[in-house]
Amino acid sequence: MRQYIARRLLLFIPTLFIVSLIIFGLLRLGPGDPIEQYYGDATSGTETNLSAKEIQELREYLNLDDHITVQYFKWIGDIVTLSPGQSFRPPNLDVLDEVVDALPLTAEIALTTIVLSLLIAIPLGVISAVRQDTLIDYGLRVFSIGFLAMPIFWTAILALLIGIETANWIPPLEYKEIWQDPLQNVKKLWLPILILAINSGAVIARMMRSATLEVLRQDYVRTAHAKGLKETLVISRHVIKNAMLPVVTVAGLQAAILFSGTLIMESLFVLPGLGLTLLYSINDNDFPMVQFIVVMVSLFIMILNLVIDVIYAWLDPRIRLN
Amino acid sequence: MIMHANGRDDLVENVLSKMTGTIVAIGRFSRKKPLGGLGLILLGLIVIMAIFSEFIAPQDPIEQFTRTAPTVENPFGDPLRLVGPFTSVDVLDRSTDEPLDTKGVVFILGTDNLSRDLFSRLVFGARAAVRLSLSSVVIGTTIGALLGLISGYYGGKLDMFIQRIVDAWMSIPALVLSLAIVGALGASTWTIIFAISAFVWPSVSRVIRSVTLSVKEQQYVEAARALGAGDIRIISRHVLPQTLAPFIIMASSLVGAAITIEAALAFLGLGVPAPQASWGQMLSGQVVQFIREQPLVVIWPGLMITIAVFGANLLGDSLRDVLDPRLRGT
Repeated sequence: MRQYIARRLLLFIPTLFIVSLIIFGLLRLGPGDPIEQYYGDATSGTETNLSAKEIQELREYLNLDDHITVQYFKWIGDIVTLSPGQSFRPPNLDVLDEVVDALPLTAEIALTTIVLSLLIAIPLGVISAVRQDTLIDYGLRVFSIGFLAMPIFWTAILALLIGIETANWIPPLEYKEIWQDPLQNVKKLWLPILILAINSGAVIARMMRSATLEVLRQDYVRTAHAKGLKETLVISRHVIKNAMLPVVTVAGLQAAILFSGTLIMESLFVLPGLGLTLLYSINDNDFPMVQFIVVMVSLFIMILNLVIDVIYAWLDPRIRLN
Repeated sequence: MIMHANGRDDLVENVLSKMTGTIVAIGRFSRKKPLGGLGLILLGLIVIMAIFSEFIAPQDPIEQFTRTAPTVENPFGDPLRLVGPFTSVDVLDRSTDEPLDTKGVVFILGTDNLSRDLFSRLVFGARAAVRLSLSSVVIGTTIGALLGLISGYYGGKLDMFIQRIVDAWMSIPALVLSLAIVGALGASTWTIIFAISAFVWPSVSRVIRSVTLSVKEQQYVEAARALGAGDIRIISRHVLPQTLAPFIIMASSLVGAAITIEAALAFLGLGVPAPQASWGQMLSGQVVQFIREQPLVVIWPGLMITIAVFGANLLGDSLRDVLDPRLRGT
C-alpha cells in the first residue's frame, strides 16, 4: 500500500507539469495584453494614465518582456516555492493572499454540501432500493432524473423566485464571514448550499439505490434473513456497508465536479470565494491568478482521487492495488 | 433523357427505401424503449427549432422594439420592456422611425428587459444550443476515440504519454477549463466548440482505450496478424467496429452534458457574443432583477435547457440499454 501511494504521488509530477503547460499555453496563446487592458497602450495611442516609462517598469516588474519559456520556468519556480507573485489587476495584490482570503468561503460551501448531500442521498437511496417499485422509489427516480436535467443556476433562480413570491424573502446582499456574523453567513449561504447538495445528492442517491439493489440479492443477505435477523439489522449491518463501496467513488467524483457548481453559485449569489475570484481573473486576463488557482484546484482534485482510491482499497480488502 | 430519368428514379427509390428503413428502426426503438422515444421527440423538436429558426420565430431575435405610444400601462415608461405574453403593441419601424403600418406586433411570450421578443429569442437560442453542443460532441468524441484507439492499440510509452495528458486534462474541472479557454481565446463559435469538446474528449478516450485493450488480445486479431495484416488493417477492420457501440453510447450520453456546459458558459458571460440569443445568456446579468415583474422571462429559457438536457439524457440512457450487450434484455 505504501508503495502504491508513493508511486501515485510520483505520477503527480508529470501530470501537474502537463496541467501547468496546458493552462500557461492557453492563456499566453490568447490575444490580449494584460497591461494594455488595464492601463491602455501608449505606443498605439490609446488613452493611458501611465507614462511610457512607468509602463515599461510595470512590464519588467511583472516579467512580461522575458521570452515566453523564461516566463514559464520562472513561474514554475514561483509555484514550487508557493510564491506565485503579484496579480496583474491593479493594485497588483499578492496572489497567494487573495487565494487564502477567498478559500475559506469556498471550502465552507463545498464541505457542508458534501456532508449534506451524503446525509440526504444515502438514506434515500437505501429506502428506495428496499422499497423498490413503490411510490417512494418512483418519486425518487423521477425527481432525480428531472432535477439533474435542470441547470443549477436555473434551479437557484427559481428558488429565489419562490422565495420572493411566497415569503417576500431575498438573501442578504452582503456576505459576512462565519466568525464575524454567523447568522448573516447562514442566511446568505443556506440556499446555494442546499441546491448544490440536492444536485449532487441526486447523483449519489441513484448510485446508492442501484448498489443497494445489487447487495440485496447477495447470498449473505439471504443467509442473514434466514438466521432470523430483523430487517433493520440486516440492512444496517450487512447491506449499507457493502453498498457504500461504489458510492465512495461517486461521492469523490461529485466533490471534484462540485467546484464547477460552487463557481456558478458564487457568481449568481455574488459570494467572494475562489470560484468568483477565478471568474473575475479569467475575464481580466489576470494570468498569475488564473494559473495559480487552476494548478491548485487540479492538485487538490488529484489528491482527492488518490485519497478515494486508498479509502476504497481499505474498505474493500478484496481489492489489491497493483 | 430517359436514361437520366431512370437513374434518378433509382436514386429516389434508394433514398426512399433507406428513409423508410430508418423510420422503421426508429419506430421499433421507440416501441421497445418508450422513454427513449420521448427523448427522441423532445430532442427532435429542439433540433427542428434550431434548423428552421427563421421560419418559426415571428420577430428578429435581436431587434429592440420601441413603442409608438404608451397605449398599455407600462411601469417602465417608454422604450418598451417586459411586455407580458400575448400583448399586441404598436412599435416604431427601425429604419424610418415611423410607426409600423400594422395592427401592432404581438409578442407571444412577451419581451425581455431589453424589449426583444422572448419567443423568437428562445427559438434562436435552440440554434445556439444545438449547433454548439452537437458539433462539440462530434469533434470531442472523434478526437477522444482516435487517441484512445492509438493509446490502447500501440501501448507502451505512447500510451503512457497520452494517458498522462488525459490525467492532467481530467484533473482540471470541466467548467474551469472551458471558462479558461473561452476567456483566453475570446468568445466565438469556434472557441466555444473547442471549450466544450475539451471537456468531452478525455472520458471518451478512456473508454475507447479500454475497449481497444481487450479487443486486441482477441484471437481473431492474432489470426489476422498471423495472416500478415498490418496495423492499419487490423485497426480499421477488427478493432474499430468493436468500438462503435461504446462510441455511440458515449456520444449520446455526452450531448446533455454539452448542452449544460454551453448554457453555463453563456450564463457566466462567456457564451456566444452579446446580441445573439442563447438560453444560458437569457438567464444571466440583469434579467434576475426583473423576476418579480415578469417571472416568465426567467422561467422559459431554463425550461428549454431542461427539456433539451432531459431529452438528450433519456435518449442516451435508452441507446445505452439497447447497445450495451451487458444490459441487453434487462
